[in-house]
Amino acid sequence: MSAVERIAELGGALRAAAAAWASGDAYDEGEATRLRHRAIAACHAHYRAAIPAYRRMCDDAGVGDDAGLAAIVESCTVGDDWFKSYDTAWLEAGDFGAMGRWLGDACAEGAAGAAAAAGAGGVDDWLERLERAGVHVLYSSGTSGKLSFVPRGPASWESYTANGPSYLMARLQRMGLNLSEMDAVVLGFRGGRMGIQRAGVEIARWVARVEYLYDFEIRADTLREALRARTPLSTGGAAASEADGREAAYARVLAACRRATAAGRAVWLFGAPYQVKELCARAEAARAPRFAPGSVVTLGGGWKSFEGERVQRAALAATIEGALGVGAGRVMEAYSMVELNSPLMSCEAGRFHVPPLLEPLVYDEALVPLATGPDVTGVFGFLDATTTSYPGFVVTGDEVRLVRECCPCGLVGPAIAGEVRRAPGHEVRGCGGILATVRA
Amino acid sequence: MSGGAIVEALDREGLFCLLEGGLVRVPHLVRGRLVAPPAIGADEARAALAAAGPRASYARVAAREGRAGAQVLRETLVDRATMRARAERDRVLVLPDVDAAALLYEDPAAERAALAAVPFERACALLEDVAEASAPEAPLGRRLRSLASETSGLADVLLDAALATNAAMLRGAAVREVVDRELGVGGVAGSRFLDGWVELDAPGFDGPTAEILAELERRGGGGGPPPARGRPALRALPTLQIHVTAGNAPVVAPASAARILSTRSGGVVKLPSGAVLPGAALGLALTAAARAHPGAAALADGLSLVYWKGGDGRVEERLFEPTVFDRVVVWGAPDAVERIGALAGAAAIRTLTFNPRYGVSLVGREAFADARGVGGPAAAARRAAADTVIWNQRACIASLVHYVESDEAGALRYAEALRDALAAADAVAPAAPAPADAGWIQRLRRGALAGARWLPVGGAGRDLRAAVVVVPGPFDLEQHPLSRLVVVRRVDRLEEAVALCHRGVSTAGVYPEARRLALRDALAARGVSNVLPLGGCERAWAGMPHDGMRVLADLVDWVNG
Repeated sequence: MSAVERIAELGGALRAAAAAWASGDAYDEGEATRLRHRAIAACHAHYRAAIPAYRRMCDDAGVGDDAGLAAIVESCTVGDDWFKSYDTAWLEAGDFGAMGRWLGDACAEGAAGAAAAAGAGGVDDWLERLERAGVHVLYSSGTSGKLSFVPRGPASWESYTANGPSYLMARLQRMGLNLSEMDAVVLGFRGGRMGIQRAGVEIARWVARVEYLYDFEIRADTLREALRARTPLSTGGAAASEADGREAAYARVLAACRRATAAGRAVWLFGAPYQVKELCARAEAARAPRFAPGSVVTLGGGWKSFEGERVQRAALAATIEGALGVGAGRVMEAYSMVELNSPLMSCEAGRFHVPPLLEPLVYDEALVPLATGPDVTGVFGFLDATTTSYPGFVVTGDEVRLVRECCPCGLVGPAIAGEVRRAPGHEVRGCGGILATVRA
Repeated sequence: MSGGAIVEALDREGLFCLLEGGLVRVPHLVRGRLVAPPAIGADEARAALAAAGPRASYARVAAREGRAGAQVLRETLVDRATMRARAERDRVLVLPDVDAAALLYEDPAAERAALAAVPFERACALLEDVAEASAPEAPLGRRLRSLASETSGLADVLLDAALATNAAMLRGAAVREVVDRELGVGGVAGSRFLDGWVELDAPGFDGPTAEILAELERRGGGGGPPPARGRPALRALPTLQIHVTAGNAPVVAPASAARILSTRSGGVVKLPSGAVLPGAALGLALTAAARAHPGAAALADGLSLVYWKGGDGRVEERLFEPTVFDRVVVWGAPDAVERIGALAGAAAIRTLTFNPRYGVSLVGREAFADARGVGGPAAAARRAAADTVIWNQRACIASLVHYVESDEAGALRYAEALRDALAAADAVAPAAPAPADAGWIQRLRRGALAGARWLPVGGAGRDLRAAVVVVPGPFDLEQHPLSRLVVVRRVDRLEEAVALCHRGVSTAGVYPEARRLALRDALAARGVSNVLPLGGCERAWAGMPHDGMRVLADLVDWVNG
């Protein structure tokens, strides 16, 4: 059995454990932990063998194949910038050969990267060629405009699509959702490879009808162009009046909500918090009817660059109930990122529960791991033992409070309590300071 | 007042000394008067910080009946042996609240006139006594050193140099040298322009109205005496200034104060968090010395040295008053430059900006063949290391990026030599990244620079003290941690590195000398302010331009008379 097959097998067992954890049936936390640690050790050895940059990082830190969990936690987590450690100039120049070599250095998908490079006519074409070669690449964008590319070969993609449902279906069943009778409203794009879009795309597979805020597929080239120019997105990628485009888009989804409500169909609304907040404001302004009973709202993606508009979770829930008629108990929030195969879903008590698929970690500002404890605050990290295409050991830029106690909702194990915020930024230091646009 | 008496008085007042609970009460200088913070205990100060949020480093204590408000700053203690932050060990500085109105001048014109009336010689005598009182060997200097070293990230050799510099630049002879050079015009020493009107040996030119006046005189019967056509006269008049300083080095705020004082001007220096104490010590020395110099009292009376949290609208919205202040000087951090620039711009106050900049090193291929670099480019690497550790790489002239003219193997050999040089520098002047910087370096290693070749000093991970990173392509300067981390880039020809320079580069250290002379014009044309021999990028001289400006000349009002 190859290392990838072994990891996939352990991943399957972990999904079974996650399903038991979510349903409360016959869950053995100790056994799940042992299983996860075995998978983490297998992933570490696989990464060292298959990902040259990971191996160099380990060698620098004196971490070998048989490292213990503590050494992996201390020295082998990668930052989210790992996935954009390529040179932007390669994309600008259409040098997909270089991008392929990068995929082979920072990730374990060099072969597909090399195969896809020949003749690629642009970023989207390159991504499509990778997909035809069996590697699904999702990306996310930061305010810098540089995209993070996260590749997933067949085994990692299987984990990506299967991990979430393994423990989320129990929650949906408890809520009594009949997906085939529901309409979905996704405050995002109809398709594309942006990580944040995937949840909406997945939801759309299960419901009767779906309306997208932006009824077109977002393409990487379009996104890069828009980020560079700081212009809103439109179908052609050209600059458009933000007011015009957004007004029309929100009007369309509000009309879809009205139709569903008029027909007595429940709605599953999915969007980023700032988008849902905006929809609520527009619904109230338009005196839109409240959603039909059985509706749910799922928030994902955080506040991002709309931090200034952030409201406390309880306040947003109250806004949603007031505007859409969906009570706090049916408002879920997902904590996820493009590098993560297993999203964390908030419970009725407002905690993001960590499924047994993940080893949660907390670091101090120096990136030294903090000792496990009942209540620890710091920078969040995780060991995701179901990825084989890239290092699934990631330290995020988010500051969290990680608690380990039985939650009022009934779930056991670690959970993130309270709001998730970006960790305090790298302070601007004196005269050398930030030179945001300077490359040297 | 003798040096010993200053410190005894401070001890009696519980000021500028370490008190129970790790508390230091730091006075402000407000228009020549020392303003002590209210009597707040360590528990109350720490409670205010706790209320401000986890890990808060700044808090305000509200005024209450019979007691003024205060500001509280938390500073992390440093283990002087390892230069690492001592986890969970800190102290708190308590400072007075700032009343912006008290920093303004009721009659700015009268203030300027009073300053202009101080003979330069008397000003120098006052500053000589200030330097004496704050010198490292003086009791106040020793107290400052003792307090500053507890939290400074600078090794002893750098900290001592900084404190010595702060005193030395106020010595009467030093001030005179700088003023005479920087304000000098047409061979006349600059100090003469401060003391009075100086007639210049310069040809004058009539304007078109001379003809008109002559015609008017003819038509009017003439006979009146023509306007005086003597030699032109010039004087440098004091101004009222606001200096917003940066805390990247403990010399910045005192240097700003020295510029105000040496132009015999008045103004406000905003002390930076992280380096409040040197400015406060200057205030203490100035008030003590001023008593013996009544003829120069206007200088002390015109100066304020205060701290407020950057962006505090209660202070900043009131302070930037165009009818009072003539100049704004802002140093360093981009947010401060942007914010203060906007405030000063809105008020139409002339502003001098020392923008965020950085230094580079250009190492020619001769470094590999140099007889002194036996076994490799060690000689060039040692010099470049010296330019790197200027104020622990936090100065705007410190070298962050080294361009090496070589093939890939040569760049690696240079990087290895540089790693060794930085390790040796760590033995001479130890330094360790602050915790947040250490975390950032780890993020670079495990993120944006994962594909680069890393050569750590002191070990990887939490043991790291410095690092050399050979990068395959461009590096985003935004991500530089300024903690003795050097980015090495290989170039085929140094001219390629020149093309990567721009106005954001303050200083280029070039090796060898022949290449420096050959590249000097091209680098200057790209906006680089200092093109200096590698290893000599910190060297300065009296009257040297700063960021391309003759600063003192911009801080006075040149008046034709």
